Amino acid sequence: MPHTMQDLRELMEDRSAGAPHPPDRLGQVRRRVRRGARVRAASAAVGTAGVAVAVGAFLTAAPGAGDRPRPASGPTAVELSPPRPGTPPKEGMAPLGDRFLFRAGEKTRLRIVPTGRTTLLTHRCSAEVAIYEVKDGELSGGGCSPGGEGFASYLATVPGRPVTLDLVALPSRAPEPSGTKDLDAYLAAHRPVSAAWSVHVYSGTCTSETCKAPERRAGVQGSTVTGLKRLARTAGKGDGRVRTAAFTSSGRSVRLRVACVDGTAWAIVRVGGGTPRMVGCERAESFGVTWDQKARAGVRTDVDVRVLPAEVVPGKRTDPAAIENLMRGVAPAGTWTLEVYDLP
Amino acid sequence: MRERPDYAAYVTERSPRLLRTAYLLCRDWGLAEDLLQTALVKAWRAWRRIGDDPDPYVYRILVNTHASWARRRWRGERPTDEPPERADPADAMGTAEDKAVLWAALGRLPRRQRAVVVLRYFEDLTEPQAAAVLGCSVGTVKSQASKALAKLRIDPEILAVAPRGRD
Repeated sequence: MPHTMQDLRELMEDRSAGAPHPPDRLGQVRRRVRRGARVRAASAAVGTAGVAVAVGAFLTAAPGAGDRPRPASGPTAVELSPPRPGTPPKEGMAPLGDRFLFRAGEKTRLRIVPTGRTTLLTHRCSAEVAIYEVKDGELSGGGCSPGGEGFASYLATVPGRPVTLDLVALPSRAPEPSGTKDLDAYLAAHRPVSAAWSVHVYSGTCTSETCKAPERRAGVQGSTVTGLKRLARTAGKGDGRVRTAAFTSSGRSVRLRVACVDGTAWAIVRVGGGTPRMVGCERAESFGVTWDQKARAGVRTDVDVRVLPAEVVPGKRTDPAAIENLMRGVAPAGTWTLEVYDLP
Repeated sequence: MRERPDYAAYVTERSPRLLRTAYLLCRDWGLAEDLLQTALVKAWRAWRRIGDDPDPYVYRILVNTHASWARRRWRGERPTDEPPERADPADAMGTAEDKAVLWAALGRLPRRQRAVVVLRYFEDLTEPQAAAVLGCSVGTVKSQASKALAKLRIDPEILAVAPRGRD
């Protein structure tokens, strides 16, 4: 052998030794995480669910004051205050108003009437808190660091069509809720604490790169199923297990949309026992990937779908045994939705 | 979702080494940085369930993400970011040229085999550990490593320079 194993090891050590060190890799990763959260937040408004929220908070109460159960109560409805004169637009969007709130640990229902196709919520805070939003029964959210970028939520909206959000600020010591049930359980078990937090809302035509993509996608991909009758819907986790939905189309073709979020990446879709189709849905996030498929009018048709997490890289084989093999030792991740629409 | 405190420590401590692994997989520093950050973002999302030893999970994301990028035409793999090395006139033994040839041969290995070589002989993972990262059997790791080394052994360019380099 012309080279020894030692040569190979030394070569890899030498070649990889000149790694450039970016000044702040952790900061870059955090920015990418936040950007991903914002994109998902905006996309959720277009299609499926899950919105990252933007609220600011300033906790003023000592923790522990309210750790006693309390009767569940509904959200407190609030309206936006008119924007202060001279409030500048943000990212090309005009200020709709703001709202200063003074309690954490309870739901606040905010009603917004957008004036543009994008609505932006921003927050300010001077203490570490976690802010959550419940929209259409789905929970999402994140933290707010004092003096940091905080969270911003870009919603794809229809001018004049009201949007209602439930906002909740939780002390950072509170356990992170994994869903609305967790959140409601926490709120029922703890009394609100005094806090001051603010939400600032803008709406209009977004000019920043951050929200350009969601807005553009809302106009293109989001509209591909607009006005079509939904025939079937199924959803699940990215666990490789097969789910089946059935539909009966009125025409000779249907439109399918697969939306993947939070770590699901590949959908294997089989319509009417035909050839399975591998759909890479990770890049489209929850905007979804849409395509048309032939169908037999008036005939009940099954559509089978298996969705794999991003951790898995599928090969050419898509049979159940191959999928089971791929999923061996892989934890399910993310969620997905498959919808079938009628194309008359 | 709030960031776990140990995540920041992990990124700070381990990312220099992980970047080197990423570079050996994709052979481009810019792409390697992108690959590493993508893997770290994915790890951030799954941090709660990763457990005490994140390395195997992050290695797996690196390997699989690189594989999926290489599959997509829009992010085609670049074999090298540097011009081929020339022999240093002062290097009478031809060591530099030898290494350049070996490096090029390493780049010609199929993606999966290169990943096995990097995990086994750069990261010094055991065969079961490499199998866990790659999601395959220990036997597959053995055979892929064996095939990779055999390919390096009979690589025509390596054979062409071997007599001069080893004389």
